[in-house]
Amino acid sequence: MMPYLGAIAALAVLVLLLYNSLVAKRNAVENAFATIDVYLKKRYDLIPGLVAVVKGYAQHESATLAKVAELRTRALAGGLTSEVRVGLDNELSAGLTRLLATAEAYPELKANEHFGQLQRALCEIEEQLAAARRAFNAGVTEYNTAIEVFPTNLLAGPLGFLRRTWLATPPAEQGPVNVGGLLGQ
Amino acid sequence: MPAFAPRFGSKPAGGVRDFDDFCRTALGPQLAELERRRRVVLVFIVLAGGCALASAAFFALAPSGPLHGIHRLLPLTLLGTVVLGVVGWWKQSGYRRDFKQEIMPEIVRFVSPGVVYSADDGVRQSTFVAGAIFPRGIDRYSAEDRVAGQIGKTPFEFSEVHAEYKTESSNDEGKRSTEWHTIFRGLYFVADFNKDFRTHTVVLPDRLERFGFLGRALQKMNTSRGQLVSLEDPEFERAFVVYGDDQVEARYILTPALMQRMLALRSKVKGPVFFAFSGSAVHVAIRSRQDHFEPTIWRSIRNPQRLAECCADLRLLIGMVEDLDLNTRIWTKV
Repeated sequence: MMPYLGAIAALAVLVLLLYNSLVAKRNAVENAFATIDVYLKKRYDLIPGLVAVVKGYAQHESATLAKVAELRTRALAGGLTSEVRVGLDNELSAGLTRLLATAEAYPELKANEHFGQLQRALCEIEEQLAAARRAFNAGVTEYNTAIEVFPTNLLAGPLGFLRRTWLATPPAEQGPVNVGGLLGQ
Repeated sequence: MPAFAPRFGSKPAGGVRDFDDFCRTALGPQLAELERRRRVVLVFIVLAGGCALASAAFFALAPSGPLHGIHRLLPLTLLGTVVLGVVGWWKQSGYRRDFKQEIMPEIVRFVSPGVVYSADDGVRQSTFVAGAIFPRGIDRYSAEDRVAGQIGKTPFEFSEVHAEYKTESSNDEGKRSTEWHTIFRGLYFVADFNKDFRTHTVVLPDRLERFGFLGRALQKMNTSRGQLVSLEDPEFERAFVVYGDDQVEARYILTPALMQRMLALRSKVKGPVFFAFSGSAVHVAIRSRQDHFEPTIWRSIRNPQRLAECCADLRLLIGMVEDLDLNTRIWTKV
């Protein structure tokens, strides 16, 4: 009798450990996604300042300015699904890149100190966002692997651990980056 | 030079002829004088060695009882060994000191004007400890041959470092003995990093990656260094293992471009290379048993190869600022 009890206890401990490891990996993915949110919020905070500075020098870019401001408002409104949110942020990235590139056509804007600071801050946030996306994707890879390999796959299905999808690189970031152009160097 | 010592590029990255010309023209008179002194040191070493051999022979062949005949020269040869040895050692120290004070600063200035060399200074122990690449407690620390300066916007310093810990044991008779063990010996480089960060990230040579998932499981168990950070670049993952306090910040520091640069640097160095990102600085430790900036007594100081090796090592280390692209300051840190 005792050996059976021992085996059952060992099995229960194993199941517990595997379940806990799956939960830890799922939480790591959620945490990484939340980190992306933090940096997106930081980026939203910079947009009004950027729009105000650019508006002062580049009146002809009103369409881009309006688009960026509208995307920010929609993103901040909340109640969006992850997919819509990701799509919106990708659009915002492209809009911001266009906005920063307008400085090339407006020497006075390029020389503005506040604009330079905003460029640097945005550049840093973009890099932090990229890092957060990479951390999220690494977490997703680890989580997806865990729910597909034996023996954790035996638990994952019945307990509702579903596959997560990776974040794709925003189209605006897929082409070659002209850093010099962005920073007016 | 020991066979296992890693070489940091056998030739300077460029301008070999320029460097040869520089040695011949700017350093010519000093090198000639040092070469003369090196030969004097060699004479003393040979004479002291001869006296030591003669002493050994007299001692081995001496009949028991009082010394007589030629064996009466034994005290004289013993005295000669000691006196010639001490004078030779003293002259060698002077030769070494003058090489470091007269030649090394000039070579450093040739490699990078504005960069300063100091023979007796080194990277401070507190800086070495702050990098936390080698977390073991240090009982003895020495550093020499400090090179420091600023390339573009990036201040940097490096030096040879030797950090050790000791173990004490006692035998059956209660006699205590102390043994010294090396924690790190080699070149230690520190530079201001081009981004601000708050957490600590270390990048260590990966010895377990070849064991596949088992190796990774073992690496994950090593929680003393923080979280294991898995990166996307397979080549980088084969070469290094990364631990950090924060997954996102580790990736903010280790961009794909920086990972490639670190791999390129590793292939140049041809030895174990460790990185740490701490306190807004990058620390690079290159393990090596060689004294990189010491003159050897056994080869001519005017031998262009020896000085060229020294110059190549300096170029590689000073060039790390550019190799790691530390001067690109497009982020909020300026």
